[in-house]
Amino acid sequence: MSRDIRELLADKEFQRKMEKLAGLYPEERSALLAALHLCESETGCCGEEFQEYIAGKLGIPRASVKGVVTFYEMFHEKPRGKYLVQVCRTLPCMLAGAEILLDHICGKLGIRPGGTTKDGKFTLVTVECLACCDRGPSLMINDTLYTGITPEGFDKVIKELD
Amino acid sequence: MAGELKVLTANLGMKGTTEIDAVMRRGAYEALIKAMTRMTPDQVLGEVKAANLKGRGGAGFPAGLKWSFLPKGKDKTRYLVCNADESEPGTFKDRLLIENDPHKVLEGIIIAGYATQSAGCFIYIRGEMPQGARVLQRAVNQAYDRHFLGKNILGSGLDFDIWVARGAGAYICGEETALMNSLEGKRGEPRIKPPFPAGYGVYGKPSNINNVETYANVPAIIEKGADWYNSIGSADTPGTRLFGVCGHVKNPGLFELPSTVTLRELIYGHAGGILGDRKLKAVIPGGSSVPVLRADQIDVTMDSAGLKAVGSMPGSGGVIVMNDSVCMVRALHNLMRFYAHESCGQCTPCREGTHWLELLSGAIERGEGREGDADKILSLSKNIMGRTICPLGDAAAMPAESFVRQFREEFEFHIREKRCLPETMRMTTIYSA
Amino acid sequence: MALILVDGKEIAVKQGETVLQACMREGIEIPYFCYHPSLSIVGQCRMCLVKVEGAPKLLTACTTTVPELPREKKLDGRYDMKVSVACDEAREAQRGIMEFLLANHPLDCPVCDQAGECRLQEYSYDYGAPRSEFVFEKLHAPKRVVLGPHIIYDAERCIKCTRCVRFCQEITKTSELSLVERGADTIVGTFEGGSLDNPYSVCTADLCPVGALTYREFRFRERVWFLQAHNSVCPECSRNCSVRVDSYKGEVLRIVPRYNPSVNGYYMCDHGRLITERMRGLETRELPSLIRDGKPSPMNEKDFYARLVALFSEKKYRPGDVAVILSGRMSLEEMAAYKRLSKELFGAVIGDVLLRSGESDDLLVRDEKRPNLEGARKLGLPVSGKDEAVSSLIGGKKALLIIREDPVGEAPQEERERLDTAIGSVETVVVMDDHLTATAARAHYFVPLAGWFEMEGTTVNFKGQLQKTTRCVAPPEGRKPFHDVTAEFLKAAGKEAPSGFREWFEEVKKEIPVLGLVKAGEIPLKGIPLPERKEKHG
Repeated sequence: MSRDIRELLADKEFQRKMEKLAGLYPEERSALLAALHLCESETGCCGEEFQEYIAGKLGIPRASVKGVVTFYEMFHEKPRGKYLVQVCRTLPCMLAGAEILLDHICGKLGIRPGGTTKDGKFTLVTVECLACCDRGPSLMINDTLYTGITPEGFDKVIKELD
Repeated sequence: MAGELKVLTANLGMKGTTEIDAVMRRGAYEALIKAMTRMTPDQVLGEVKAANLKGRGGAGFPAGLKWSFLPKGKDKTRYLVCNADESEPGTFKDRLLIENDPHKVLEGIIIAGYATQSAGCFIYIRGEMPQGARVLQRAVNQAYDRHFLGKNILGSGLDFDIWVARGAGAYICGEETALMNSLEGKRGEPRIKPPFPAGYGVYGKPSNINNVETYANVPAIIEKGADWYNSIGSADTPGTRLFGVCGHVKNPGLFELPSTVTLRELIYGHAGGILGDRKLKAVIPGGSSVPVLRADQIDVTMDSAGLKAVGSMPGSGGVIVMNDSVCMVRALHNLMRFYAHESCGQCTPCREGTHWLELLSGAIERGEGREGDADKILSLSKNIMGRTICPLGDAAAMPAESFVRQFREEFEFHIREKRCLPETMRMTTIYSA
Repeated sequence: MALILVDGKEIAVKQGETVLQACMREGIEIPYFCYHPSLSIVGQCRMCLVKVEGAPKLLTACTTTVPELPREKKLDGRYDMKVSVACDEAREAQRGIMEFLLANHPLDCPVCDQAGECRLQEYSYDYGAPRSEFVFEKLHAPKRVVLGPHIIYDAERCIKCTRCVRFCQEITKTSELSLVERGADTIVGTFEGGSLDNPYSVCTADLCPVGALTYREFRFRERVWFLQAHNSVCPECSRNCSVRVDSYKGEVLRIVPRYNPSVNGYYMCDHGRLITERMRGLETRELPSLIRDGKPSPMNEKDFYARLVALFSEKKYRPGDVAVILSGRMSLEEMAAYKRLSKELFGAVIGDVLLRSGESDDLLVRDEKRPNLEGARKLGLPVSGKDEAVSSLIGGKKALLIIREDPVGEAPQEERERLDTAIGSVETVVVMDDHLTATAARAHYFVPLAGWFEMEGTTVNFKGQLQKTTRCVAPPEGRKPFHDVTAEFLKAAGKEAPSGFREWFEEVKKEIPVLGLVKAGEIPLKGIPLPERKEKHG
């Protein structure tokens, strides 16, 4: 998380992972999303430096890579906080109380959806259906899913981070 | 009330069912062995066709027929695709299958690969399900270790691979051709059809795409036969279906039932009735994209014929229940915001229409509605319906049109009085119930 | 071949042809934005929705092909498909699409460069609703984005037809553009600002059906309805792209490609289009001039030509004493006139047409950088084999006549001085060109010629296609095509001479017999293919 992109691109282990990804699918360009996921999880974003690198690596025009990064909700061009708090706001979770939960989280973190806390620890976003509609409200923090979460439950979860 | 019939979910709730050894002790991969050692590809295809297995992704197209559209011949590379991009609001069946019984899905895929003599299958799983992706990849590795994947599987001559690919946050990638573009590392924009995937799919090669639950049905069909399969469920949708019930019910969850079950049985029986002991107000019976029903329309079976009779459809099997604390304007606005956010933006009616519907439903919800706005929702829906490249336009237009049609008075009240109906001022949530 | 019925009219549809293409061919209007005959079909704008009998919903005409039905299944025993563009259902859909497209469109037509040639404007009139019911604030998106050196993008006006994106992917194969973001926020973007810099970038502005992509050099120059359009030919290489030259008040403001399947298709390169910018501010003279120490002093025409004629008869230059440098920028008429003049002055046709070559590409740009070298070959004028032939041509000559070439100005820096000195040491140097070139500064006599867009003329491209350029703007009095200068010369020498383009074209026809029946005023817009030249031997 939050590694510097230049450092990452120079990392032998990372390069090895990229080589592996490039050879994973019948055609190289299919590895693009996987590569972006990897960069996102290592550095917290997929900025232009990585876009340029991966475009060259997979033989995809740079503009197309940018088109892909900006199309998918899970990729960010600009760095985000260490913890990405993704609150489901779609109807089933709304029926379960997602709006109350979201209001609480906004108050707790002192940010609006789309914002990042001053210390760079949390970025709050709303997301669409996480496919846990029977256990809402749901949210994800980075890769970890939390369901049926109450405002108090959220406070406990973030307290236990780190 | 008929009890659950656990075919697809037989292993759910058991321990260790993501491990190949554990599930093989419970009979996993026996159908695959039967198909590949005792049946020809055409016999397998014939069995699936005879079973009349309907696609479980939402459109309900017969799977066997779809497989038979793939061109035959050794010179052609064919691909299968498994659509695990489950993101239809109200739908959570594929996640449970993948995370709890991945081998059942893999077994169905490999059997389909044998029937269609394909080169391999891409499983495209939602980016927001990293756990599912890990489970699947591990299961795939185990299947390779057992030689259920790879070269010359079980001596059948079939070489077949499975690639797991993750999406990255785009509902539209559940649309088959958008999914294929995404698999190719492109923006998830649906392609115009024709050409259809059977002729021009992933990398331009003939491809067949089915939903997770569809593939998961295949092992039992091969094992027990089409006749057995047809003896369950209704004529138009044989077999069992996974119904996910969520929203204002006391016992939300996934239920495996023949689609002869009625919506009433599902809500009041299996799902335990209405949360907060309030009145049922509305149900969306097949994922957020299908037309909404009123409380007096639930005495219908959950198959196509039953739901068609009340103007809706089975869709993805996700049942969203709303009690009378729900403001329908607010609910519609939530859905319209979803579709506007998920429109890929390439074609005009969807890009502009969903955005407009979001603004318009939001204005009414905030008390800024104007006379004629309810009709405007109807006319916008009409201008989207059937006029877009892919079904996302219809998926947004159907709820918009049906919410206004079914709850017209509430919309008019909202526009006139600039507020919610009194009983919907405080919505039931899990916190309040 | 299938047969369809479109609103009562029978149309034959070729194998693989779409309903839209067939209707366009037959002059039946179906509105569209994203379709373009040279690009892949994407069906994105949805404007061409039509009703097809038997189809459950409206279909986009641009994506609908017509399978031939077996005889017993033909509709009305005759048709493979029945289509309606004008029925209420189709019209309502087209109106619906217009309503959607205009919802977030800024409607800033009064200050939009596309106004007057905007498809959205045009269709609003033909297919739109009289008023918009979109009462919300329009979406804001980036404006005045510099996509490349010549292209400015206004994302608010963009209707996401992706013609520009597809052009860069499919035609130039440079892929600088992509859609970015998604849904209502979708816009066109580049990887980094200003990187849309391929040699054909301005074609994206031509392709843009609205005012989203505009051509930087033309922005805010003039409202398009004041422009006068003229058919011409681009003189920047031997492709001779067919162009339309738009002028206003005697100035060429814009050059755009004119569709010609046998020459350039739909496109032209930016370099050709930018002639307008290079033309601006070139120094010229309206009268022929004597030049002393690099300074021109104008003379009246009659005295000037009398003086030149006297000079040549007095000096009695023999053909061997004279070097004549001719140019592939001369029209066929000018070349024919030169041949006549050369015979009169020197008793023989002497002179070489300079070969000027440079970079080429796979699309349109040719290596030969003069428009009419093939014309010179057709008229039997020798084209010097190499670019560096100039100094060898000049060596030991007493007189030098240079027409429409600037060897000094175009020489590489290291050769420039040597060439300058060589020309400076020739006894009599006459330069004729449309502006005062570096070479003209070394001349003793300068004759101002009409520029390429200031005269009528014919030219032959590398494939042998003869095209005519028209006089797009009038040259100042005194600047004439070379064939008219020849006439002045011959008159001063007491000889009869043809006058004007039409008469000189008759001279050209004597040398290119295949043109026999063609009249100067009847050259088709697409030109005339000439048969391959037979090399003369001996």
